[in-house]
Amino acid sequence: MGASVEWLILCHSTDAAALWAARGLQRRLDERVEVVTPELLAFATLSEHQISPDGQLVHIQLADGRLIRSERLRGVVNRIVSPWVGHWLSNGPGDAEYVMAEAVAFHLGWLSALTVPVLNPPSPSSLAGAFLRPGELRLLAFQMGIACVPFTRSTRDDRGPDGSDASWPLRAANAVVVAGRAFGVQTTPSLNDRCVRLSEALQTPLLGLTFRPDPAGEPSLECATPLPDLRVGGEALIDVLAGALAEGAP
Amino acid sequence: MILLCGIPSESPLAMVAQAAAARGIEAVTLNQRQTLCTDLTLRIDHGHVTGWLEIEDRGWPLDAFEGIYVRMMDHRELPEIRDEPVNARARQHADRLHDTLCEWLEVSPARVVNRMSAMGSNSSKTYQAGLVRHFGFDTPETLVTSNPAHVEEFRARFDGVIYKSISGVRSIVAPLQERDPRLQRIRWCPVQFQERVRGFDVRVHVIGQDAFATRVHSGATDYRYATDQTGSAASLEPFELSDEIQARCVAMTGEMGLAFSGIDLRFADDGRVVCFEVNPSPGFSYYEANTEQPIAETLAAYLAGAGPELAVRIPGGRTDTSSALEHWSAATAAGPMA
Repeated sequence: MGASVEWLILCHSTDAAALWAARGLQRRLDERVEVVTPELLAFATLSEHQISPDGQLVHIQLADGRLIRSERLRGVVNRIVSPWVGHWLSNGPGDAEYVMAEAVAFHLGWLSALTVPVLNPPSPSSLAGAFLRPGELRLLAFQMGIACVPFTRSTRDDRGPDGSDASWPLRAANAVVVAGRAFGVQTTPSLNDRCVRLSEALQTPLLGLTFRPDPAGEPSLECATPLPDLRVGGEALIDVLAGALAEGAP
Repeated sequence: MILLCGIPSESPLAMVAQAAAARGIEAVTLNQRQTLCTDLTLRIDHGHVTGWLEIEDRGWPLDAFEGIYVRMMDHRELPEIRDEPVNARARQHADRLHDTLCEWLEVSPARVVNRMSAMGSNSSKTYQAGLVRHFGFDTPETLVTSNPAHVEEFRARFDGVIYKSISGVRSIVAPLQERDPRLQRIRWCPVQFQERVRGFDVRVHVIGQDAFATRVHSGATDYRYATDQTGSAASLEPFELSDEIQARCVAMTGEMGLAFSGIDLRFADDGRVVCFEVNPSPGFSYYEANTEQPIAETLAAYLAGAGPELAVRIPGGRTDTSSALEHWSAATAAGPMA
């Protein structure tokens, strides 16, 4: 049996931002920082979640020998969008859809059961964190004092899925919130504070925000993602991320 | 005025429509089977939600609706849509209508029963079990595993074990038989096993602050399939909950962001009150038809504004249970609900 993972980075193998963050965290945290992909989880030799009056326990034994044990974990960066079920596709769509639903339910259950910092905690709408429809996001953001791109959706037009006004300039600016600190370009301190409040309202400590300039040139929120490009914040972001993982870890 | 979304002949929707008519509540039905003659426009600007709904030759501003009951099917599976090619006008219109409708349901200030964001917890029974325990209910001892030997060890601890899906897909409860050769197959997909809890079932329908409890008499492992499993149908009768259990059910429903729920409880022989599931879109018609409990009438009244609105908003779909215990404790201390 291999060593237990202490700091876990759950991400897809193509998630360059997560892999970059993993290298930074390996430099900051002395203990083991391990990257695990959905493919590795799919071929685990043991996947187990126990719920008893004494609490919840999770044990996942990976095929490469590494072991994820809830009682040994100290923190998780969670950026899994979807489990991997490629090995079920040959069984036909019915079985593959069933296995996908089961895998999502399993991962949502065990990630939510962890008592250590999980950035981001999963939600039923998205394993990677909160998912908001564009209109819902803009209404909530407006309530936080953030100006937003007007949203329109109708059966009578073929506007894109984000419902934005196509006449607005396309130049975008990105901000990233990590554990209560905002990083990014072209945002003011007061706007940064509002972005942090939005992240807290969404219970999504890793949050990416995209702004477009309004006709007067002021930034207006267009969309948000629980999978921000962490590289926007550079090494300072890694410091904050490492601190957030360590804070509250046993 | 209230809006009913779904298929008019489907029993729960039909019963709410009938109850609304009986109470003189004006109701508009958005028929999913007639999407081509339905148009919807939604606009959100500076925090204001506006828009227009048009069905055939009639139209309404979106703020005309004070309550919305959502009982929608997956529109891609409707007979009018499922065989249409991807680029067919009917399919594209139906996709756009349902997208816009789902967006509106999240931002509408009306009483929405229920918002999509609140309905997700039922997609993972282990996730929902974690929420349920915050409200003081027991949950069955549960093992989700891919290891057959661990299942045998788990089985040895209890007087019977059942298995069921972790998600809401193919969710039928069945007893685990001795030496079931299929147990080896779980290596490829973890399966959920639970202790078999001996006792009797109670379904609680919560609407706002009102609760209707129904006791189920059946020898089946899953009473919904009692005829298949035992050869005879389950029988149902109204059941009186204690003030404390009722308060917990009401508080749990609201804290999960739901205005209407169907809670599956088992009153165990050992004294526990075990919660198996909180259903966010309960098919209540079966229970009302067998008990005459006024569920549809109460729901119609709630949609039209009766009683307080207790469902909390949960942006992003993640229920915050950090204050759950305080909430249901306070609810219990306040005494029985009206």
